[in-house]
Amino acid sequence: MFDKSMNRRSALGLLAASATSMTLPNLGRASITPLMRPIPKSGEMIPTVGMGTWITFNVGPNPALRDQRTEVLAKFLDMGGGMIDSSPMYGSAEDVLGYGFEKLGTTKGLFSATKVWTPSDAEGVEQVADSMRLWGINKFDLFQVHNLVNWENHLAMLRERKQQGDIRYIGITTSHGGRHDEMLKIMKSEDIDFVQFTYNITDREAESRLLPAAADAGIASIINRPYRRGGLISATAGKPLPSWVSDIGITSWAQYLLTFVISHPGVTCAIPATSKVDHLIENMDRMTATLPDQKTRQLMIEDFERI
Amino acid sequence: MIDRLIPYSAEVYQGLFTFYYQTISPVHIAALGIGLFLVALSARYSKRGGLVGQMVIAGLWVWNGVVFHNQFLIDLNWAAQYFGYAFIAQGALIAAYAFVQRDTVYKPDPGIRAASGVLIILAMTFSPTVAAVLETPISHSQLFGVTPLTIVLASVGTWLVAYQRPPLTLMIIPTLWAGWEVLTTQNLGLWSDCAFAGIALASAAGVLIYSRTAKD
Repeated sequence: MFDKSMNRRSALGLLAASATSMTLPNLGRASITPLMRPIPKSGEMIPTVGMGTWITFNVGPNPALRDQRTEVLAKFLDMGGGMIDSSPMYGSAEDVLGYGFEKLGTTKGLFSATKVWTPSDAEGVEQVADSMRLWGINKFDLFQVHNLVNWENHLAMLRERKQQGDIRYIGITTSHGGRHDEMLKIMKSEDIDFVQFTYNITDREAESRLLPAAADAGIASIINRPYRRGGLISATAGKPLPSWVSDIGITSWAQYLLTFVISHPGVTCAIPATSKVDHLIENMDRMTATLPDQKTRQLMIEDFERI
Repeated sequence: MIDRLIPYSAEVYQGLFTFYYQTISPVHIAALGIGLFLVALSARYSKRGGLVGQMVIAGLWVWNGVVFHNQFLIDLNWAAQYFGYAFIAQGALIAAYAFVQRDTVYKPDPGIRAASGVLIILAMTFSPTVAAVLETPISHSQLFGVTPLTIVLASVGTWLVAYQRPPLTLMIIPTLWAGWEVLTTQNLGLWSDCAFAGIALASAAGVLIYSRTAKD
């Protein structure tokens, strides 16, 4: 177990050590060493690329779309799995995940993460039960308070469920770059394991405050919107990649953007959302890529700003 | 900003209509008959016909609130339950207004206002044909009476026929809904739906302005 008072230096040291990677047992591909990063509070290693479900898994009752998303889920687990993040706010996404797990008959490799999202205390308790029912699991790896809604009471409830063994880690989330000050305050005052916020090549405010604060507090960082809901990829349509990026194995703008995010040493896991198997493979491929150093990351920013 | 409020893709939204029609079948076919019935009522205007037409329209608003929003769209969007309540409230408003005012408000008018109303109802009844012209598959189109946009437009049509001064209180929810649909469909890139929503918004806003300025 890791000391809860682990400081920034030791946390970053651990991150650097993890960059040497570990082999996933269920990768399905020989001699691949995917990039894993530690959860500072426990030292448990998790894959650096996970999967979000906002919009992409909210397909309602449509059987064809549910089956297609199950194929994405199957490929994700087949490639080693990792964090899948959802929320009661995402419509039918949790239900669709549960459908997929049931159809596949496995959750092997899954690091389950969802959220409580309601101003009501009582409804928060119901949402935890609902998520377990919908996903078809009886224990969550991570439960977060979505967008800091009623975070004081929900964190207390989640902490209690953690002590009871129903939840392994707890955390808080924001998105779209909002409410950073409040998040920083909570990171300093509360004993939490994860924080989730937006970080991408154009929204880099997290670099100056949230990422260092998380490292200081020994809190794992989950990154949402690495592609800004696809907006950054759309912005690159028809634009050629800088020629030098082939040296670090980048073959698409999506890989360029995701590589930028996960190459920040303070990032524990990025959760790009996708509804397509080939896009998922493209994302997961980044875990075996050569990561750029700080100087190269700066070059990535400049090249991206140029387009 | 608006993208934060829409938790589904265009593909999924269109797929919802396909699933919805398969599930409620043959109600969506019967609704086309209701549309023709409303056209007939409006074309051969009478006080009783006006009241019956408004009760039918009220029932369709309630259907959209209870079934479309609270049974189907709710799967994709948690906010659908609140949209559903708004549709039910609108149905109640239409029915209450039509009933309470039954002896005073209906004023037969063979003029351009009523003719426009009949044309709008007719266009909505045949909206799948319009959608097909815009190359949208019928299974992805909003069909008369059982989907929100068609009921907004059909309501505006019946009010133009039934009321010399369509009441302001009836226009609020349709106008807000049409505005929301314009934003949603534009964000999703559903251009034929966006065109429909734009027409609905313009019609609702036009009637709103007309009812404030028309002379008795």
